Amino acid sequence: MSARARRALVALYPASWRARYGDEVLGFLDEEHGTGRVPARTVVDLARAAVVERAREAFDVPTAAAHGDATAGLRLVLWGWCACVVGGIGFAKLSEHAAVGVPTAATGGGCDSCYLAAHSLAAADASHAVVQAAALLGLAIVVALAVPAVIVAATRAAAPVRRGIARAGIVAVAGSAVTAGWLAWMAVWARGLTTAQRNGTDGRYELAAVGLAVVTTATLAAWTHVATRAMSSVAPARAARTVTALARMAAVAMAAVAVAVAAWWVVVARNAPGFLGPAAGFRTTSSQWPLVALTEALIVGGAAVALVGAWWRAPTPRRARVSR
Amino acid sequence: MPDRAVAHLPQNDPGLLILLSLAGGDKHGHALSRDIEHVAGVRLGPGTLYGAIARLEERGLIEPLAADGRRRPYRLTGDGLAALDEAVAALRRLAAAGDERLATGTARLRPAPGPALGWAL
Repeated sequence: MSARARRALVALYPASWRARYGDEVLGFLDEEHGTGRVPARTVVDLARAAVVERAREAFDVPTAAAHGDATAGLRLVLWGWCACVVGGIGFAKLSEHAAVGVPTAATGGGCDSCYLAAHSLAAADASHAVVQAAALLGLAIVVALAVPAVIVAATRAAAPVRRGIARAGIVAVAGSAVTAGWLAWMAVWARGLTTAQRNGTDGRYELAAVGLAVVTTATLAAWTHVATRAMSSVAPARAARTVTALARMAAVAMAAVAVAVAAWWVVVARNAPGFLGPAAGFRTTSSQWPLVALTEALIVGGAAVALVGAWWRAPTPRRARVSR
Repeated sequence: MPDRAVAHLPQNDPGLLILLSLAGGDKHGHALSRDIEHVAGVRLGPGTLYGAIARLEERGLIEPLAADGRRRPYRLTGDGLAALDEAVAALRRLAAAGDERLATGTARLRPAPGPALGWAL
């Protein structure tokens, strides 16, 4: 392995760690392997330890019992995100047929079954793009907050805490398996159904869809429980300011999703009220408004909880961890 | 008693091995790795080794000495010595409990003396 590749391995570590131990690790590799190949298990060992060190930049297990509730705000952000995701899935489901039924170039800019006229399509599309971009940003940030906390708690926390996280993880994995199985079963079943049956005229399929929504929500809550349980056993470390900034960005992304979803429904309500009512093509239910209100309430509520968590209960930095 | 002893054992085994190695004299990272492999039969990768060194240094159980090029030796501190002493005592209690149970508690599991195998066949 070249010297450059070895330096690249050490570059996986946080800057402060590299400054303190980087040269020693390179010296270790030189003494152990000369200029020869570094075994794969050593590369894996270094990479695994680098992930842990990166995680410990964000969080650490407090040595003092009186660390307070330093991550309460972050846990609110995670629960807010969970509510937003549930509401967002509902929005995706409710809005999917509006996306299908819009005028296209192929229909000459108009069609009998279209819900949105061409002139209002741009506004709806813009809102949808904001929802997707903000949701992706929020997802990336929430993962970046939760994964380090889980890594640190799983590797550093006391044994009872680690066992609790493991138990919560097993429940979440089981929930994921049930959700995936349910989804696959419904997908196979749906092949034999008509479009109308899949969208409201088949009571059994509708019941199965409700069941899928329940297990999906429960699984999301289970994963959030894993992350918040881990978060409750750690405290912000050197990168506490970055953690706070990320939490605030996530909360703002959720607020952007809430506003964009509301804007989308306003565009639809003004330009295609039929999409929300009983005359909406193959839909047979009386009105979509209750579901629209429920999903929007989940998204707005989640964003509000996240904003409160990110600003009012922000974590505070701990003293520097590595000293030379 | 054994349960209490287990509860007091350090959770980070690489950390205990490093303390044990440094009790025999100051060493830099590579020398630590070699000594631990010789004494305990465990080969610590550099990621695991320096991760444990960082934790021990944070806790004030070891301290770095002046570097010699890329080599930086480490030394056991007074707190480190006390921690090692406590850990070894806990291990000793655990081993004693194990000896005691092997000698008495599992006696019923041992096969009763019988005729020689060749005779029984």
